Amino acid sequence: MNPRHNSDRRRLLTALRGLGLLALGGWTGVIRAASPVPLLTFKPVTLEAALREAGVDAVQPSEQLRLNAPDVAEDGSAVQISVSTSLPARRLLVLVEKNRIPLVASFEFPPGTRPFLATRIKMAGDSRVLAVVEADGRWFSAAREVRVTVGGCGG
Amino acid sequence: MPQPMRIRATVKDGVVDVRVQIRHPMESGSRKDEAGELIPAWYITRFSLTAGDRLLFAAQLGPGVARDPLLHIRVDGLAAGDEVLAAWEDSRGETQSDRARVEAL
Repeated sequence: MNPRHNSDRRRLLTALRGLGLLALGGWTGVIRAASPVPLLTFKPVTLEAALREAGVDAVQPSEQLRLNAPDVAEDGSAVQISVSTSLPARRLLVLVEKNRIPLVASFEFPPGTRPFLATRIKMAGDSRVLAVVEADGRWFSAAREVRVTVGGCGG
Repeated sequence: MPQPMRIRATVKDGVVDVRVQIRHPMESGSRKDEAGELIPAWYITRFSLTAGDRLLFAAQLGPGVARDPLLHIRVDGLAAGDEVLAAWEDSRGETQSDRARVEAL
């Protein structure tokens, strides 16, 4: 551990306490306070159940939502994806249909942040990858089939 | 101890690209070690990015995010020299936070 970093971290925590951002819950308080979205669970369920649990009832495909993913991924342990949209999306879910746990992550874009995200996900094998966004109280989706050469134990 | 994140925030034409590289094993709980024993799940559950008291981005992550997570987002309304703060918490309750300044490209 680099001592300079340590003291930097201490200063930061002190500053946050000073701002009243660190309540009794400690550091987690900062993150929870920041997020109005309910706590999600990442469980081995079907894609449909995962969507339902995340609060998605009805979803419709949208051409205004773009999901970039490779047609073939050599390594399922890290598949690069990106999502962008011209919809006023404030929330994004990424799912891999065939993974043991289909829900990969949920992302929030507060006003002033563009509805854009790039990350790397795990894929256990060939599957449909879905991006689902909430915009103006409705859910929209985009999907891509990705073939995986070597599976990545998809969570 | 958690390792520090690598954060790069660059502004070009008023848009700030923030790239955060987290170092974390992101164990799914379904992988086995060499002895055939299941490796317990251990992954980042929450991430946030702030600038002062402005929330820029928040995420809930599951074990399906790749090892050493990489998050790239785009933000308006920040300028070169502004400071961003990234923070995460994992399924063991460990936390890490790091800061970086926006650089002009």
